[in-house]
Amino acid sequence: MLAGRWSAWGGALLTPRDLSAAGWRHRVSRPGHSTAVVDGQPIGVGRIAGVLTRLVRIDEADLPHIAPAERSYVAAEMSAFLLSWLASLRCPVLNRPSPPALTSPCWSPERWVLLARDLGIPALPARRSIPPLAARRAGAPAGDGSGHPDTGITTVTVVGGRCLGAADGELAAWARQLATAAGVGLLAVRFSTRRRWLLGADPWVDVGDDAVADAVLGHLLELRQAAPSR
Amino acid sequence: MILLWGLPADGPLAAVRAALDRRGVRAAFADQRLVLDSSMELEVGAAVGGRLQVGGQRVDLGSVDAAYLRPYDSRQHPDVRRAGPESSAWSHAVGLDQALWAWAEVADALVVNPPAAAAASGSKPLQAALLRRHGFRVPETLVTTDPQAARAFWERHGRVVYKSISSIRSIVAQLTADHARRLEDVTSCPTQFQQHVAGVDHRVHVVGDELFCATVVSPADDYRYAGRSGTSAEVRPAALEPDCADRCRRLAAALGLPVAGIDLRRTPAGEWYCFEVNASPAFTWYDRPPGQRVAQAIARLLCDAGAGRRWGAGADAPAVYRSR
Repeated sequence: MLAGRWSAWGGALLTPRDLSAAGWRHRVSRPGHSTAVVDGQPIGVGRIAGVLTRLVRIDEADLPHIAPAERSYVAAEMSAFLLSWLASLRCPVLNRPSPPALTSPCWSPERWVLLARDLGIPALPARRSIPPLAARRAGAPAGDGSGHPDTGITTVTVVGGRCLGAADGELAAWARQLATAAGVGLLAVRFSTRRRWLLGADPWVDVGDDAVADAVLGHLLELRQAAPSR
Repeated sequence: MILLWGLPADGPLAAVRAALDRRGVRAAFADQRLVLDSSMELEVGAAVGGRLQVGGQRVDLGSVDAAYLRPYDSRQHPDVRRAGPESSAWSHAVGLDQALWAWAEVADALVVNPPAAAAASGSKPLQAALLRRHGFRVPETLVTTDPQAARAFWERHGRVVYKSISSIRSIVAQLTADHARRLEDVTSCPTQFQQHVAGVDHRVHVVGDELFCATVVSPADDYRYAGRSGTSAEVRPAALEPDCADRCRRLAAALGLPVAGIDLRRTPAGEWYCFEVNASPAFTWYDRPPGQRVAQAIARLLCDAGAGRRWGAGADAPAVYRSR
């Protein structure tokens, strides 16, 4: 969808299937001389103007074209390869990978709470409960760290220096602070609307939203323009 | 309090546990065999707290000063595997692993090794780029799905090895004439080829500021599997040139690893090549007498954290340690 929307700017979709096509040449000590395969077509990496990553890793389910017995190994190899390739690109990458994830920040709820605490931003404490197995079998709930359910959620989307979806200057400022501290250009930050505390954050901004999609493209183009010529 | 997590039969973990015992330190041991008899609560707010219950042992996570983590994937526990992915046992094991790693990520303790710092070792070419930035030579490396590119790389370097890209263990092997036909297979998955570098293998273990070096003398391409090729591998203690030793210490510190196993090779011309940094090194294989020097150093490091002397607390420490 996004590739089609950005086709006028040469947008193309790289999928796990492209990693099983002849043409990839990743030269670790000379990354500028590497070639990739995008949408089935080999392309020199110097022609890639920017990358938006929407995968954390490659899973076995992404590889129906690989023999079942090999999928687990191939998925791990492809993920490790993409970590290196994405990190080597000189063009803007939103967001840069942070091992083991192909994008960042894919942090635990606990880590967001600590960052918020350090920045003086109110945050819902993260709680995680792994009850004894016997209790789990008897129906005791297991928590995953995402804290208490909250019905009213305000999501603020940070794209570069811009904040979308924030009707509130303070929440926008906090979201921007979190993105800056995490060192990323894209961040979806969720706050409790009523209590005004941080619930969580991740790089999965809603690119189905026209305003967000346009802002992301604009940010990639700005970054590309600002990048020193090589 | 010091926390150990893993299996009692794991060589490095057993060696560190024994070294702590010899120092009179009784560490809490999260025995992975008891994963289905364990539970955990973690709360992160103004502070990091919670409790871990393993069998009859209860650990206050807020009182842990240092932790040495060498867990295996709990899904490989025989009872968990038997129960299968849809079972409550499976969910429990996965949840407990995730919770302990989440604690390790935010704990106000010395963690050997912090998961975020260790994660870079999951991609060898990514790590190679980091090694170059830290002043080590790394072999010319090509990762490709292009059989022609692989052939051209082979022709240029004459001797080439191939190895896994990820941290999944694979046997490093040289390309031979037998592989020529199979090169077409690289179109299925990016494959890593590396210039063969002749020389003597060195394994360096950095533990805090301490450093231990051994050479491995073997004709095998991958000395870890020398037996399979009908050869042998002999480990000998060795000294490291001061300049190279300093680079190893700086590298481990820059990667945020209190403990690191660094694979080096010294060429006949005296150049040092670095192949990778292992964030969870099986040091017992290299240490002579077996496992004692490195294990004792790790035990010291853990005890120092308990005594308030935290590795990496200085101005040159990685930000991940300074921040807490």
